[in-house]
Amino acid sequence: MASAWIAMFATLLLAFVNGTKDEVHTSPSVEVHTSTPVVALGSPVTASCVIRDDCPLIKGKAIHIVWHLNQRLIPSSPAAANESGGNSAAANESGWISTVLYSVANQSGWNSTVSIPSFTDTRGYLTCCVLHTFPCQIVGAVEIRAGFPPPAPQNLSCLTNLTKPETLSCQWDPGQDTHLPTQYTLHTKIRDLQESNTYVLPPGAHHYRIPRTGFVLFSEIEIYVKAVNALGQATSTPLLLEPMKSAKFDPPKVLKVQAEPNRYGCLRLSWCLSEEQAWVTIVSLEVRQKTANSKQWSEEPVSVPRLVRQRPMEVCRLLHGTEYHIQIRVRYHQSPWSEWSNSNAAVTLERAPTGRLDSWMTVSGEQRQKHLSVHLLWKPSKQFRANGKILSYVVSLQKQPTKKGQLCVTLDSHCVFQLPRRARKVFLSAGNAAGASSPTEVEVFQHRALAAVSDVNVLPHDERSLLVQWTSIHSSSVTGYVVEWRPLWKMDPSLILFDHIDRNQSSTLISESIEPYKPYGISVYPRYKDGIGLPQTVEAYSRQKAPSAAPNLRVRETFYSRIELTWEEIPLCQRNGIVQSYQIFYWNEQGNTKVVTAELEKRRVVLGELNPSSSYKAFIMVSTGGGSLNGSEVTLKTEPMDVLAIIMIVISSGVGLSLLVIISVLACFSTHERLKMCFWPMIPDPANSSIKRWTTSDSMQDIPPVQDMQESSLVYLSHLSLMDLPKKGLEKRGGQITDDSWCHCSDTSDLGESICGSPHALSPSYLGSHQHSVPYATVVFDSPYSSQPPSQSHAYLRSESTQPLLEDELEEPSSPKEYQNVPVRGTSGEQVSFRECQDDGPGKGELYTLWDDFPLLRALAINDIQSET
Amino acid sequence: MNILIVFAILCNMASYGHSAPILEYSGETGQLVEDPEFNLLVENSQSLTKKVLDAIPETHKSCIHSETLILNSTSENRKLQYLAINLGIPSAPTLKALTDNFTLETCLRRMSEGLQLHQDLLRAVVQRLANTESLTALLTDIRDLRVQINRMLKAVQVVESPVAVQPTATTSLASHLTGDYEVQVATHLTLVQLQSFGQDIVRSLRNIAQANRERD
Repeated sequence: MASAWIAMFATLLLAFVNGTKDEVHTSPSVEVHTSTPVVALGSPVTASCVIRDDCPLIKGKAIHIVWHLNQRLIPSSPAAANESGGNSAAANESGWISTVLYSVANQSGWNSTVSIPSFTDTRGYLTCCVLHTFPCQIVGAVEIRAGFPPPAPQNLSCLTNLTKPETLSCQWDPGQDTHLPTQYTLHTKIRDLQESNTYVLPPGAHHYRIPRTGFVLFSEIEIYVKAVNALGQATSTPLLLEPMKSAKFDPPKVLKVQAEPNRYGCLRLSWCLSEEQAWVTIVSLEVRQKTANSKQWSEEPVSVPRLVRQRPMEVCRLLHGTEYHIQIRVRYHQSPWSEWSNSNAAVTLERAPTGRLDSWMTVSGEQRQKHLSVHLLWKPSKQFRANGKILSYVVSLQKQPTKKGQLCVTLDSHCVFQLPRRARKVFLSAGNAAGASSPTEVEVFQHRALAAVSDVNVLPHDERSLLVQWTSIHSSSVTGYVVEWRPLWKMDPSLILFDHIDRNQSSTLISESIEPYKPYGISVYPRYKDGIGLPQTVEAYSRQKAPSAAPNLRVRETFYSRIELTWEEIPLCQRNGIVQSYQIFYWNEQGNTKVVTAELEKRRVVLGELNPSSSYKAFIMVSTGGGSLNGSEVTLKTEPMDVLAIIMIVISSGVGLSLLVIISVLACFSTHERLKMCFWPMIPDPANSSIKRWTTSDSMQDIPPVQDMQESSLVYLSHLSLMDLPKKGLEKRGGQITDDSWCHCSDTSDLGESICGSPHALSPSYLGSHQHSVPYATVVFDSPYSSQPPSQSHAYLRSESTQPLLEDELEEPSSPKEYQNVPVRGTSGEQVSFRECQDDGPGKGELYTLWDDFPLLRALAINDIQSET
Repeated sequence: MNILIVFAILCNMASYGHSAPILEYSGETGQLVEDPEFNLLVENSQSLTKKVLDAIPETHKSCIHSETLILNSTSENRKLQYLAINLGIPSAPTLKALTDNFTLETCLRRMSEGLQLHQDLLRAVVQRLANTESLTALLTDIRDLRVQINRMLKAVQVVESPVAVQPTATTSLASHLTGDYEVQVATHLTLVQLQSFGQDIVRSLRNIAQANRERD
């Protein structure tokens, strides 16, 4: 049984593979066919499947026939499959509607027909399948193709190839895809031969090379393309051409270019076509040329107006004495131009230069000097024609140059020479092998420091040009401006360039010799009728970028808490722009980064607030208008706190402290008494205080003898103040108030006593009520520092008063026998002595005279006398 | 008007200064000579003649293997005169300078006949040669040249008549090509004769072009 099934399937498969386009005989008992194997896309398709009774699949069985299109089931209703037949329509998942028209069981077998109203696939297989067991069994299939009729081929064009083997290549655009096999044929018709040819193209080809025998070179040929497929045919528009007029020649050869004698401005050109095309005697020809210095060929090639043979020809209207490179190209009538030939060069005959030279003069030299130092620059004007190779430029004092008046003979475009101060003009001429040009007059202006232009501004225009702008001078005497520019990284004077600008302009574009990332100094000079103005110069770059090199950081000084760094300026040629900032980045081992910006001019910076004996790293970032560059990283180390530094600090601190102490001591000495009064008031011990004791030798031990004092401790009186006791206090004192501080003072100090003894305080009431109180005066002594040993204490001399200071004193009348007053500064140097009363005699009169100088003491004396009386 | 008279006198003087046929040519077909298209046909014919002449040595080299058959050896070629007659290779038509008896039309007709003759001879031998590529290209060039000559002939013919050919020449040669040597000799002699005839065509075309220029 299994072998029978295999045999059946093999038979079916073989029948399927060998099936014809519109009919597939799967087996003698099954027949699937369609009347529309190729249809226009979207057209209806019908197919039928006839299964005869002898087919083993239907013998004695009820079957159901189903259709598939590309494995998609074409649905049919059960009613359609009954014997009475009928129509059913359904839309499958792909959208198209298929209809199984009928499946009829007749006497001879089964007949099923399917109809697809719109066949939208470009290619598909309709399969007939018998369903009585699962799965259904395919008994046959038919292929359906859908597409479009071919559109007419477009853009038919042909090009003749004259290189052997010579061919005529044609190509066209087939247009929209037909989805169907389309046969293209190329048809030609040679009129002169009354001959027609048809070339059948391989499938998919849309170009064809007609062989040499298929066209006549100089005869017209009509060509068209026909496209044919199952749905129709179309023909392109016929193309009528002469193959030679559609030929693209190989590049011709320029054999030789040379100047002919006495043919100024002309070159003779020998040329030929390529070897395989040399048989063509006449062609159209175009010539293009360029000078040796030029990079561009002439924009408009010179067409030779007629057909030319392969003979030497002459190219004229060329510049004299100029090297030209010449190329040619050819074509036949209106055929496409060949590629340009090889280039060949020659120099036209020379003639003397013509036209004037533009010049620019800079003059230096002091007014007193006899000669001016002149730097003259020149360049060809637009009208200047060198007409050959310039052999020299001559600057002369005379219009007709003679050797005597020649200031300069050079091949450069500038010259430096000494010019007599009286000279007003020089003459410049160019010379080549054929002669010299007529001299150009150059005026030597005496005034060269007139008013300058203002607001010169230079802007980059592009990489190789700069736009120079300035504020024009509104003066009728201005005749124009001169813009001068020079590369700043080279000091060669021959590199200075200039341009004359019209007076109405206030800007110009300079592009000659301008390179990006290079500095240029650009000066604008106003030109006046009688002189030249001062220049205004700016530095400019056409383009800026980051510097090529960063400066190397150098440590200038290192301290324990700061480091001073310095660096060199970047070389001009590596700067690549105007430096806008130097920034130092530094960080310690913990990574705390700080940035400090340096002043542009100083190129030094101090990194402060550093830790002693610490390591830092730093680099410099230099920025221009076009970018920034970081320098190499350097390691810095701060100094430690060394012994010397500590010693220095200690010494300085000690010195400072000492100075403070000395000043303090001096201050203390100068205000010794006051301080003593404030801090260590001398409080006499009432128990041990007595005048008697004062008189004792013991108590006087501290007080040197008068003679000694005279010799060693002369105390000068520098101040005498009378302490004005407030009356209130006094009055209170008079009212038995004894706790007055002043009164305490009077009780405790003989100085205070002396204050209290001021004559201003000696009112009768006060004296009357206080018999024991004695007014004192403060006596401050001063003496030259040199004469006063610091260790020596002052000696205070008691005034000659008999009034007891204290009660005890009365009991102990003994007192120093003799006190001596020292001469006061500012008074006479005479020494005044105070003695006891009993010491009268010759000194008494003298004493009286001296007392006039001491009113206080005098008052005391008077008071004493009065008490005696 | 005076300029035209002077021009006519100059043309007449020039015509007298050269050969008589140009006079005849100029007088008979003056309106055709002035036709720039005719001048172009002359130029094109000159180009194609040069092309044919340039191709002959290469074709000879590719077709002839016998070392004794040398293209430009007059002495060797004289030895082949008998074989030429025996093989039935007819002589090329004679071309002469334009004269009263040898008019432009006659000249062009002879050119066409001669080209047709050599075309037929080469077609006869090409079937017997192994390497036919260059010979086929030569045949094509001869065909193209003949097309140009015929166009000129058509232009100068007062009464259109078919170009005379010698149909017997080819049949005669094909029947005599019995062996390889005969094929070699026939090819060689045809190429030699074609070379000579081509040079005659060059001269004749130059004569016609010169007459045209002088007429202009």
